[in-house]
Amino acid sequence: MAGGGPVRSARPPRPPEGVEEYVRAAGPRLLRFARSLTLHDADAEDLLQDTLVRLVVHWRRVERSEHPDRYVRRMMVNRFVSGRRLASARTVTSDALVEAAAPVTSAGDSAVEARLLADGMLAVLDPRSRAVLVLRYLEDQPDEVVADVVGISTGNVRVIAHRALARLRPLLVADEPVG
Amino acid sequence: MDVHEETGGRLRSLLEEAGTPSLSEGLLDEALSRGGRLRRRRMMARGAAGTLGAAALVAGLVVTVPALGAGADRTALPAASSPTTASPSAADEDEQAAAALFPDEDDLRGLRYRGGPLTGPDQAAVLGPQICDSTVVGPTKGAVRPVDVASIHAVLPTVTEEGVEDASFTVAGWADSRGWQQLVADTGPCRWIGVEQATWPGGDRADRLLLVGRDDPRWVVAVRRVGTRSVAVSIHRSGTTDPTVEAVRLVGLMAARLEDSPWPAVGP
Repeated sequence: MAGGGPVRSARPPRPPEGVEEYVRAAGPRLLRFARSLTLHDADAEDLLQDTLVRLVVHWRRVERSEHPDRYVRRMMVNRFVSGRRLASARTVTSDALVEAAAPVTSAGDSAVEARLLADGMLAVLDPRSRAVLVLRYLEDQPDEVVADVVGISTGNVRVIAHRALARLRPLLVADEPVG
Repeated sequence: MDVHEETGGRLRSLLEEAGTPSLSEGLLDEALSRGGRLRRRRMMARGAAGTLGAAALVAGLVVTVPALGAGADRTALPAASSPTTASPSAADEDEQAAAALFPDEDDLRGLRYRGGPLTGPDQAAVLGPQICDSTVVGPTKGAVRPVDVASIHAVLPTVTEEGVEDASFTVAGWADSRGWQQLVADTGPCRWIGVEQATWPGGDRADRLLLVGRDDPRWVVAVRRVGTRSVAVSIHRSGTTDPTVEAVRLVGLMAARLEDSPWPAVGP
Protein backbone atom coordinates (compact mmCIF):
# COMPACT_ATOMS: atom_id res chain seq x y z
CA MET A 1 0.00 0.00 0.00
CA ALA A 2 1.29 3.37 -0.86
CA GLY A 3 2.27 5.47 2.11
CA GLY A 4 1.34 9.06 2.70
CA GLY A 5 1.09 11.76 5.28
CA PRO A 6 -2.02 12.79 7.08
CA VAL A 7 -4.74 14.15 4.84
CA ARG A 8 -5.55 17.76 5.50
CA SER A 9 -9.20 18.43 5.91
CA ALA A 10 -9.04 21.95 4.53
CA ARG A 11 -6.57 24.03 2.61
CA PRO A 12 -5.36 27.00 4.66
CA PRO A 13 -6.71 30.31 3.37
CA ARG A 14 -4.34 32.14 1.08
CA PRO A 15 -3.24 35.52 2.43
CA PRO A 16 -3.69 38.53 0.15
CA GLU A 17 -1.00 39.19 -2.39
CA GLY A 18 2.11 40.87 -1.06
CA VAL A 19 1.43 40.36 2.61
CA GLU A 20 3.45 37.18 2.94
CA GLU A 21 6.54 38.78 1.44
CA TYR A 22 6.15 41.74 3.73
CA VAL A 23 5.66 39.59 6.84
CA ARG A 24 8.66 37.39 6.10
CA ALA A 25 10.89 40.37 5.38
CA ALA A 26 9.74 42.51 8.27
CA GLY A 27 9.16 39.75 10.86
CA PRO A 28 12.61 39.73 12.50
CA ARG A 29 12.77 43.53 12.70
CA LEU A 30 9.28 43.67 14.13
CA LEU A 31 10.13 40.99 16.69
CA ARG A 32 13.12 43.04 17.83
CA PHE A 33 10.84 46.06 18.16
CA ALA A 34 8.23 44.03 20.07
CA ARG A 35 10.91 42.56 22.35
CA SER A 36 12.14 46.03 23.26
CA LEU A 37 8.61 47.11 24.07
CA THR A 38 7.57 44.11 26.13
CA LEU A 39 10.97 43.15 27.61
CA HIS A 40 9.80 39.58 27.53
CA ASP A 41 10.39 36.96 24.84
CA ALA A 42 7.00 35.26 24.98
CA ASP A 43 5.11 38.55 25.26
CA ALA A 44 7.05 39.87 22.28
CA GLU A 45 6.05 36.89 20.17
CA ASP A 46 2.43 37.28 21.28
CA LEU A 47 2.49 40.96 20.40
CA LEU A 48 4.12 40.25 17.06
CA GLN A 49 1.70 37.51 16.15
CA ASP A 50 -1.29 39.56 17.20
CA THR A 51 -0.05 42.47 15.10
CA LEU A 52 0.67 40.29 12.10
CA VAL A 53 -2.77 38.68 12.22
CA ARG A 54 -4.35 42.11 12.11
CA LEU A 55 -1.88 43.17 9.46
CA VAL A 56 -3.15 40.38 7.21
CA VAL A 57 -6.76 41.36 7.90
CA HIS A 58 -6.12 45.02 7.15
CA TRP A 59 -3.48 44.46 4.49
CA ARG A 60 -5.16 46.58 1.83
CA ARG A 61 -5.28 49.56 4.12
CA VAL A 62 -1.67 49.01 5.20
CA GLU A 63 -0.52 48.60 1.64
CA ARG A 64 -2.28 51.75 0.54
CA SER A 65 -0.91 53.82 3.38
CA GLU A 66 1.93 56.17 2.60
CA HIS A 67 4.22 54.50 5.15
CA PRO A 68 3.36 50.82 5.67
CA ASP A 69 6.19 50.26 8.17
CA ARG A 70 4.96 53.16 10.22
CA TYR A 71 1.40 51.89 10.05
CA VAL A 72 2.44 48.46 11.33
CA ARG A 73 4.45 49.92 14.18
CA ARG A 74 1.48 52.08 15.11
CA MET A 75 -0.65 48.93 15.29
CA MET A 76 1.94 47.33 17.51
CA VAL A 77 2.39 50.31 19.83
CA ASN A 78 -1.36 50.76 20.22
CA ARG A 79 -1.75 47.12 21.05
CA PHE A 80 1.14 47.22 23.47
CA VAL A 81 -0.09 50.33 25.28
CA SER A 82 -3.71 49.12 25.48
CA GLY A 83 -2.60 45.62 26.43
CA ARG A 84 -0.54 46.99 29.26
CA ARG A 85 -3.51 48.95 30.42
CA LEU A 86 -5.76 45.95 30.45
CA ALA A 87 -3.34 43.45 31.93
CA SER A 88 -0.74 45.25 33.94
CA ALA A 89 0.41 42.22 35.91
CA ARG A 90 3.61 42.12 33.92
CA THR A 91 4.78 45.39 35.46
CA VAL A 92 5.70 43.58 38.68
CA THR A 93 8.74 42.28 36.86
CA SER A 94 10.21 45.76 36.53
CA ASP A 95 12.04 45.72 39.84
CA ALA A 96 13.34 42.26 39.20
CA LEU A 97 14.68 43.36 35.86
CA VAL A 98 16.42 46.36 37.37
CA GLU A 99 17.94 44.17 40.07
CA ALA A 100 19.06 41.67 37.51
CA ALA A 101 20.62 44.38 35.39
CA ALA A 102 22.32 46.27 38.19
CA PRO A 103 25.17 43.88 38.98
CA VAL A 104 26.09 43.45 35.34
CA THR A 105 29.09 45.50 34.41
CA SER A 106 28.79 47.61 31.30
CA ALA A 107 32.32 46.60 30.34
CA GLY A 108 30.91 43.29 29.09
CA ASP A 109 30.09 43.22 25.40
CA SER A 110 27.93 40.15 25.09
CA ALA A 111 24.47 40.42 23.67
CA VAL A 112 23.03 38.93 26.84
CA GLU A 113 24.61 41.58 29.04
CA ALA A 114 23.50 44.34 26.71
CA ARG A 115 20.00 42.93 26.69
CA LEU A 116 19.88 42.81 30.48
CA LEU A 117 21.10 46.38 30.78
CA ALA A 118 18.71 47.67 28.13
CA ASP A 119 15.82 45.79 29.75
CA GLY A 120 16.74 47.19 33.15
CA MET A 121 16.64 50.72 31.79
CA LEU A 122 13.45 50.35 29.79
CA ALA A 123 11.64 48.52 32.58
CA VAL A 124 11.42 51.63 34.73
CA LEU A 125 9.48 53.50 32.05
CA ASP A 126 5.75 53.55 31.45
CA PRO A 127 4.65 51.92 28.17
CA ARG A 128 4.29 55.14 26.19
CA SER A 129 7.68 56.52 27.27
CA ARG A 130 9.25 53.18 26.46
CA ALA A 131 7.68 53.21 23.01
CA VAL A 132 9.03 56.71 22.40
CA LEU A 133 12.59 55.77 23.35
CA VAL A 134 12.54 52.48 21.47
CA LEU A 135 11.35 54.23 18.32
CA ARG A 136 13.97 56.90 18.76
CA TYR A 137 16.98 54.82 19.72
CA LEU A 138 16.32 51.34 18.37
CA GLU A 139 14.47 52.30 15.22
CA ASP A 140 16.31 55.61 14.77
CA GLN A 141 13.13 57.39 13.83
CA PRO A 142 12.90 61.18 13.85
CA ASP A 143 10.56 62.76 16.39
CA GLU A 144 7.95 63.50 13.72
CA VAL A 145 7.66 59.81 12.91
CA VAL A 146 7.70 58.83 16.59
CA ALA A 147 4.83 61.26 17.14
CA ASP A 148 2.87 59.77 14.29
CA VAL A 149 3.38 56.21 15.48
CA VAL A 150 2.58 56.87 19.13
CA GLY A 151 -0.29 59.21 18.33
CA ILE A 152 0.99 62.29 20.14
CA SER A 153 2.41 65.64 19.09
CA THR A 154 6.07 66.14 18.24
CA GLY A 155 6.39 68.46 21.23
CA ASN A 156 5.02 65.75 23.44
CA VAL A 157 7.57 63.31 22.08
CA ARG A 158 10.37 65.64 23.09
CA VAL A 159 8.94 66.18 26.55
CA ILE A 160 8.38 62.46 27.12
CA ALA A 161 11.83 61.57 25.80
CA HIS A 162 13.49 64.23 27.95
CA ARG A 163 11.77 63.00 31.10
CA ALA A 164 12.42 59.37 30.28
CA LEU A 165 16.12 59.95 29.65
CA ALA A 166 16.36 61.93 32.87
CA ARG A 167 14.88 58.94 34.64
CA LEU A 168 17.35 56.57 33.03
CA ARG A 169 20.39 58.70 33.68
CA PRO A 170 20.91 57.64 37.34
CA LEU A 171 20.69 53.99 36.33
CA LEU A 172 23.40 54.49 33.79
CA VAL A 173 25.65 56.41 36.20
CA ALA A 174 25.21 53.73 38.87
CA ASP A 175 26.15 51.12 36.33
CA GLU A 176 29.35 52.76 35.13
CA PRO A 177 32.48 50.80 36.08
CA VAL A 178 34.43 52.20 39.02
CA GLY A 179 37.99 53.40 38.46
CA MET B 1 27.46 66.21 24.70
CA ASP B 2 24.19 66.84 26.54
CA VAL B 3 23.74 64.30 29.35
CA HIS B 4 20.38 63.23 27.96
CA GLU B 5 21.84 62.69 24.52
CA GLU B 6 24.58 60.69 26.15
CA THR B 7 21.99 58.53 27.91
CA GLY B 8 20.12 58.08 24.68
CA GLY B 9 23.33 57.16 22.91
CA ARG B 10 24.11 54.58 25.56
CA LEU B 11 20.63 53.10 25.22
CA ARG B 12 21.07 52.98 21.46
CA SER B 13 24.36 51.09 21.85
CA LEU B 14 22.83 48.60 24.27
CA LEU B 15 19.86 47.94 22.01
CA GLU B 16 22.17 47.41 19.05
CA GLU B 17 24.45 45.12 21.01
CA ALA B 18 21.49 43.12 22.24
CA GLY B 19 20.90 41.98 18.69
CA THR B 20 17.78 40.49 17.18
CA PRO B 21 15.91 37.74 19.04
CA SER B 22 15.29 34.59 17.07
CA LEU B 23 11.83 33.94 15.76
CA SER B 24 10.07 30.81 16.96
CA GLU B 25 9.63 28.36 14.17
CA GLY B 26 6.25 28.62 12.56
CA LEU B 27 5.30 31.94 14.17
CA LEU B 28 5.05 33.79 10.88
CA ASP B 29 3.24 30.92 9.18
CA GLU B 30 0.76 30.74 12.03
CA ALA B 31 0.14 34.50 11.90
CA LEU B 32 -0.40 34.40 8.15
CA SER B 33 -2.75 31.48 8.47
CA ARG B 34 -4.77 32.93 11.34
CA GLY B 35 -4.92 36.33 9.66
CA GLY B 36 -6.04 34.72 6.41
CA ARG B 37 -8.83 32.82 8.14
CA LEU B 38 -10.02 35.89 10.01
CA ARG B 39 -9.85 38.02 6.90
CA ARG B 40 -11.88 35.52 4.90
CA ARG B 41 -14.50 35.35 7.64
CA ARG B 42 -14.72 39.13 7.78
CA MET B 43 -15.02 39.43 4.02
CA MET B 44 -17.83 36.93 3.92
CA ALA B 45 -19.67 38.61 6.76
CA ARG B 46 -19.03 42.00 5.22
CA GLY B 47 -20.30 40.84 1.88
CA ALA B 48 -23.46 39.63 3.54
CA ALA B 49 -23.88 42.90 5.38
CA GLY B 50 -23.23 45.00 2.29
CA THR B 51 -25.71 43.09 0.19
CA LEU B 52 -28.33 43.15 2.90
CA GLY B 53 -27.56 46.78 3.62
CA ALA B 54 -28.47 48.04 0.20
CA ALA B 55 -31.61 45.94 0.15
CA ALA B 56 -32.59 46.99 3.65
CA LEU B 57 -32.17 50.65 2.90
CA VAL B 58 -34.63 50.31 0.08
CA ALA B 59 -36.95 48.24 2.23
CA GLY B 60 -36.55 50.46 5.27
CA LEU B 61 -35.04 47.84 7.55
CA VAL B 62 -32.28 47.97 10.09
CA VAL B 63 -28.99 46.52 8.93
CA THR B 64 -26.83 43.97 10.68
CA VAL B 65 -23.07 44.17 10.36
CA PRO B 66 -20.30 42.17 11.96
CA ALA B 67 -18.43 43.45 14.96
CA LEU B 68 -14.87 44.48 14.39
CA GLY B 69 -11.73 43.30 16.09
CA ALA B 70 -11.97 40.35 18.41
CA GLY B 71 -15.72 40.34 18.03
CA ALA B 72 -15.48 39.55 14.36
CA ASP B 73 -14.13 36.14 15.17
CA ARG B 74 -17.27 35.28 17.08
CA THR B 75 -19.85 37.12 15.07
CA ALA B 76 -22.43 35.17 13.21
CA LEU B 77 -25.13 36.85 11.27
CA PRO B 78 -28.59 36.02 12.49
CA ALA B 79 -30.40 33.30 10.65
CA ALA B 80 -32.71 35.75 8.95
CA SER B 81 -29.71 37.60 7.56
CA SER B 82 -27.59 34.67 6.54
CA PRO B 83 -28.63 34.06 2.95
CA THR B 84 -26.46 36.10 0.68
CA THR B 85 -25.50 36.10 -2.92
CA ALA B 86 -22.26 37.98 -2.31
CA SER B 87 -19.17 35.95 -3.04
CA PRO B 88 -15.99 36.55 -1.07
CA SER B 89 -14.36 38.04 -4.14
CA ALA B 90 -17.19 40.52 -4.60
CA ALA B 91 -16.95 41.37 -0.94
CA ASP B 92 -13.22 41.77 -1.24
CA GLU B 93 -13.73 44.47 -3.83
CA ASP B 94 -16.29 46.13 -1.63
CA GLU B 95 -13.82 47.67 0.77
CA GLN B 96 -16.24 50.38 1.71
CA ALA B 97 -18.98 48.09 2.84
CA ALA B 98 -20.96 49.04 5.88
CA ALA B 99 -18.74 47.41 8.45
CA ALA B 100 -15.73 49.29 7.15
CA LEU B 101 -17.30 52.55 8.27
CA PHE B 102 -16.44 51.79 11.88
CA PRO B 103 -13.10 52.91 13.26
CA ASP B 104 -10.43 50.24 13.36
CA GLU B 105 -9.15 49.31 16.78
CA ASP B 106 -5.97 51.13 15.91
CA ASP B 107 -8.01 54.30 15.65
CA LEU B 108 -9.50 53.83 19.10
CA ARG B 109 -6.38 54.60 21.12
CA GLY B 110 -6.72 52.10 23.89
CA LEU B 111 -10.37 51.13 23.57
CA ARG B 112 -11.17 47.74 22.16
CA TYR B 113 -14.27 46.22 20.69
CA ARG B 114 -15.72 43.81 23.19
CA GLY B 115 -18.99 42.71 21.72
CA GLY B 116 -21.09 42.48 18.66
CA PRO B 117 -23.31 45.14 17.19
CA LEU B 118 -26.73 46.01 18.49
CA THR B 119 -29.28 45.53 15.78
CA GLY B 120 -33.01 45.37 15.37
CA PRO B 121 -35.93 47.50 14.42
CA ASP B 122 -36.54 51.01 15.65
CA GLN B 123 -32.95 51.77 16.52
CA ALA B 124 -31.98 55.25 17.55
CA ALA B 125 -30.06 57.36 15.08
CA VAL B 126 -27.48 57.90 17.82
CA LEU B 127 -26.88 54.95 20.08
CA GLY B 128 -26.34 55.79 23.74
CA PRO B 129 -27.85 59.20 24.44
CA GLN B 130 -31.25 58.65 22.80
CA ILE B 131 -34.41 56.98 23.96
CA CYS B 132 -37.12 55.84 21.56
CA ASP B 133 -39.69 54.52 24.02
CA SER B 134 -43.02 56.11 23.03
CA THR B 135 -44.22 56.03 26.64
CA VAL B 136 -41.35 58.34 27.50
CA VAL B 137 -41.08 60.33 24.31
CA GLY B 138 -44.80 60.84 23.90
CA PRO B 139 -46.58 61.60 20.64
CA THR B 140 -44.26 61.87 17.68
CA LYS B 141 -46.63 62.98 14.97
CA GLY B 142 -44.68 64.29 12.01
CA ALA B 143 -41.45 62.65 13.12
CA VAL B 144 -39.42 60.68 10.62
CA ARG B 145 -39.84 57.16 11.92
CA PRO B 146 -36.86 54.94 12.72
CA VAL B 147 -38.27 52.41 10.30
CA ASP B 148 -36.77 54.63 7.65
CA VAL B 149 -33.42 54.57 9.40
CA ALA B 150 -30.66 52.17 8.53
CA SER B 151 -28.55 51.99 11.64
CA ILE B 152 -25.35 50.23 12.48
CA HIS B 153 -24.20 49.99 16.03
CA ALA B 154 -21.08 48.75 17.72
CA VAL B 155 -20.57 48.81 21.43
CA LEU B 156 -17.36 48.49 23.36
CA PRO B 157 -17.51 48.78 27.11
CA THR B 158 -13.91 48.59 28.23
CA VAL B 159 -12.51 48.54 31.72
CA THR B 160 -9.12 50.17 32.03
CA GLU B 161 -6.98 51.18 34.97
CA GLU B 162 -8.48 54.61 34.59
CA GLY B 163 -12.06 53.41 34.99
CA VAL B 164 -14.80 52.21 32.74
CA GLU B 165 -14.53 53.60 29.26
CA ASP B 166 -16.83 52.97 26.36
CA ALA B 167 -17.90 54.15 22.97
CA SER B 168 -20.73 53.52 20.55
CA PHE B 169 -20.86 54.23 16.85
CA THR B 170 -23.94 54.68 14.71
CA VAL B 171 -24.54 55.20 11.03
CA ALA B 172 -28.06 56.26 10.12
CA GLY B 173 -29.98 57.44 7.12
CA TRP B 174 -33.32 59.09 6.58
CA ALA B 175 -35.80 59.29 3.77
CA ASP B 176 -35.24 63.02 3.60
CA SER B 177 -33.40 65.84 5.34
CA ARG B 178 -36.09 66.22 7.99
CA GLY B 179 -34.42 63.37 9.84
CA TRP B 180 -31.35 65.48 10.53
CA GLN B 181 -33.42 68.56 11.36
CA GLN B 182 -35.44 66.59 13.86
CA LEU B 183 -32.30 65.16 15.37
CA VAL B 184 -30.93 68.65 15.99
CA ALA B 185 -34.24 70.04 17.22
CA ASP B 186 -34.89 66.95 19.33
CA THR B 187 -38.31 66.45 17.79
CA GLY B 188 -37.74 63.07 16.17
CA PRO B 189 -39.05 59.72 17.29
CA CYS B 190 -36.01 59.28 19.54
CA ARG B 191 -35.07 61.99 22.02
CA TRP B 192 -31.87 63.01 23.76
CA ILE B 193 -31.52 61.84 27.31
CA GLY B 194 -28.80 62.75 29.80
CA VAL B 195 -26.98 65.06 27.40
CA GLU B 196 -27.21 68.70 26.40
CA GLN B 197 -26.05 70.48 23.29
CA ALA B 198 -22.65 72.11 23.40
CA THR B 199 -20.55 74.17 21.02
CA TRP B 200 -18.61 72.29 18.39
CA PRO B 201 -14.86 72.94 18.73
CA GLY B 202 -14.02 75.84 16.46
CA GLY B 203 -17.63 76.96 16.18
CA ASP B 204 -21.01 75.45 15.41
CA ARG B 205 -21.89 74.33 11.90
CA ALA B 206 -25.19 73.22 10.44
CA ASP B 207 -23.90 69.76 9.67
CA ARG B 208 -22.37 69.05 13.08
CA LEU B 209 -23.78 68.45 16.50
CA LEU B 210 -21.98 68.12 19.82
CA LEU B 211 -23.58 67.05 23.08
CA VAL B 212 -22.07 66.61 26.52
CA GLY B 213 -23.32 64.55 29.47
CA ARG B 214 -25.52 66.66 31.70
CA ASP B 215 -23.95 65.22 34.85
CA ASP B 216 -20.79 63.85 33.36
CA PRO B 217 -18.54 66.04 31.20
CA ARG B 218 -16.44 62.99 30.29
CA TRP B 219 -19.34 61.73 28.18
CA VAL B 220 -19.37 63.39 24.76
CA VAL B 221 -21.48 62.76 21.70
CA ALA B 222 -20.45 64.01 18.27
CA VAL B 223 -22.70 63.70 15.23
CA ARG B 224 -22.04 64.71 11.63
CA ARG B 225 -24.41 64.90 8.74
CA VAL B 226 -23.37 63.41 5.41
CA GLY B 227 -26.19 64.16 2.97
CA THR B 228 -29.28 62.37 4.23
CA ARG B 229 -27.11 60.16 6.38
CA SER B 230 -25.34 60.72 9.67
CA VAL B 231 -22.52 59.24 11.66
CA ALA B 232 -22.36 59.47 15.42
CA VAL B 233 -19.89 58.69 18.15
CA SER B 234 -20.89 58.54 21.80
CA ILE B 235 -17.79 58.20 23.93
CA HIS B 236 -16.86 58.17 27.59
CA ARG B 237 -13.20 58.47 28.41
CA SER B 238 -11.40 58.76 31.69
CA GLY B 239 -7.94 59.92 32.66
CA THR B 240 -6.11 62.38 30.50
CA THR B 241 -7.82 61.53 27.23
CA ASP B 242 -10.02 64.41 26.16
CA PRO B 243 -13.38 62.86 25.19
CA THR B 244 -14.35 65.84 23.01
CA VAL B 245 -11.16 65.57 20.98
CA GLU B 246 -11.66 61.84 20.64
CA ALA B 247 -15.34 62.09 19.67
CA VAL B 248 -14.66 64.77 17.07
CA ARG B 249 -11.70 62.83 15.65
CA LEU B 250 -13.57 59.55 15.40
CA VAL B 251 -16.74 61.02 13.96
CA GLY B 252 -14.60 62.84 11.38
CA LEU B 253 -13.01 59.57 10.44
CA MET B 254 -16.39 57.90 10.02
CA ALA B 255 -17.79 60.84 8.06
CA ALA B 256 -14.86 60.70 5.65
CA ARG B 257 -15.36 56.99 5.18
CA LEU B 258 -19.07 57.41 4.63
CA GLU B 259 -18.49 60.12 2.04
CA ASP B 260 -16.16 57.81 0.16
CA SER B 261 -18.35 54.76 0.47
CA PRO B 262 -20.86 53.39 -2.00
CA TRP B 263 -23.28 53.02 0.90
CA PRO B 264 -26.36 54.28 -0.81
CA ALA B 265 -27.85 57.62 0.06
CA VAL B 266 -31.36 57.41 1.41
CA GLY B 267 -34.12 59.35 -0.23
CA PRO B 268 -33.71 62.27 -2.59
